[in-house]
Amino acid sequence: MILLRHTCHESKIGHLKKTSTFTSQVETQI
Amino acid sequence: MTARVAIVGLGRVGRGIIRSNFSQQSHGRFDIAVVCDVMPIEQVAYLLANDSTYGKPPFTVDCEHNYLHIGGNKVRYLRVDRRRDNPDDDSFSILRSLNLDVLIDATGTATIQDLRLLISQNVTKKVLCTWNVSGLDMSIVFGVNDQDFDADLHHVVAASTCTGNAFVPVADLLNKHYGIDYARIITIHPVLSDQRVLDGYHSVSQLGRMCTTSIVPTATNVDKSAVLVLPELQGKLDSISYRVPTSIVSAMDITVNLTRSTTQEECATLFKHASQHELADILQCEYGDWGHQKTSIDFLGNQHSCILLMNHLSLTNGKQLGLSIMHDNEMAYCCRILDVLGVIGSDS
Repeated sequence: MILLRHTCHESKIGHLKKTSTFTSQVETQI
Repeated sequence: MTARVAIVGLGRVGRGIIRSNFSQQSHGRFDIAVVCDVMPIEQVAYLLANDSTYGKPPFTVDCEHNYLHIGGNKVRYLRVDRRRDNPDDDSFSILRSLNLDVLIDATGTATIQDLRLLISQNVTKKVLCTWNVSGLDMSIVFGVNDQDFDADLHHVVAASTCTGNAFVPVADLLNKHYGIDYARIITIHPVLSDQRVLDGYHSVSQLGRMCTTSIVPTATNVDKSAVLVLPELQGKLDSISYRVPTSIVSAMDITVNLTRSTTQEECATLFKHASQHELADILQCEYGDWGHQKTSIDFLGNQHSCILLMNHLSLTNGKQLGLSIMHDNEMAYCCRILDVLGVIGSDS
């Protein structure tokens, strides 16, 4: 889904794909 | 009729909206038809049923197949598999079939193009964003400008930010009565999930430092959030945030240079009157208990956007005003999102 696509920091390395954290690199707007 | 709602993104804010919705009314203040995230449904249920900050919710949580059962209410869960190459089409068709009035985007990461696509593809009538996405139609701070919402003009709107909701009602009040020449806003903010538990890589380097051992200076958008609602304050605001090792309740230390002189007593009366009238349920004037001041954790679960610590109100030379504010940065904000939902959902 397009909205959540942006939360996924997909790795090109296959075994990291499942475990990549999807919020850790995005600064929260406060 | 109650608005039919989707929530996309079940982080702290997304789950907080669910919790607030079903805590305010057992059948839900709003009809949350579907929620979406990348997690397995069992983990969503687990996180809704067990919350390290607020404890167990006042409703039961269970899950079965593609549905969450929240206090007896059936909510469709749409898991988005991020490993799929092209997941957009069928996700959209499922959402479209639910005849949504409002889609709440709580991902914190979507672009305005993503959100406008949801409107143009008839996935939903309105989008409510939980941060000020660049290019939005309107940023609403409930209690300040919610009456300006126009359903014909505003399709992608935001409920501002947690700090925006805390600062703007006070700024609006001061600006109307005395004028604001300049204000510096310092937020002392609990840790957020964009920080690292142990030192590591982060695109914003200081957010990659261990969050439990440091006071981390970083940017806040509270000045930009305020200008979206009060454009007359453009160029008059400055801000910085310090992330501190607490889990909940944010503090703000604000210095305001007023245009016109006043007295401390007059200011105190202004805030007290507003908290009982036009900003009732938004602004709380806090005096402590039996002469003793409270600390931040005492405001856990407080639903006011802004709690003004009256013992720390100060005025120097008639124009330099010092304000100390606290607010539950999760609970209060999620309550405001529901309030804004009541505004835009009723017109859908």
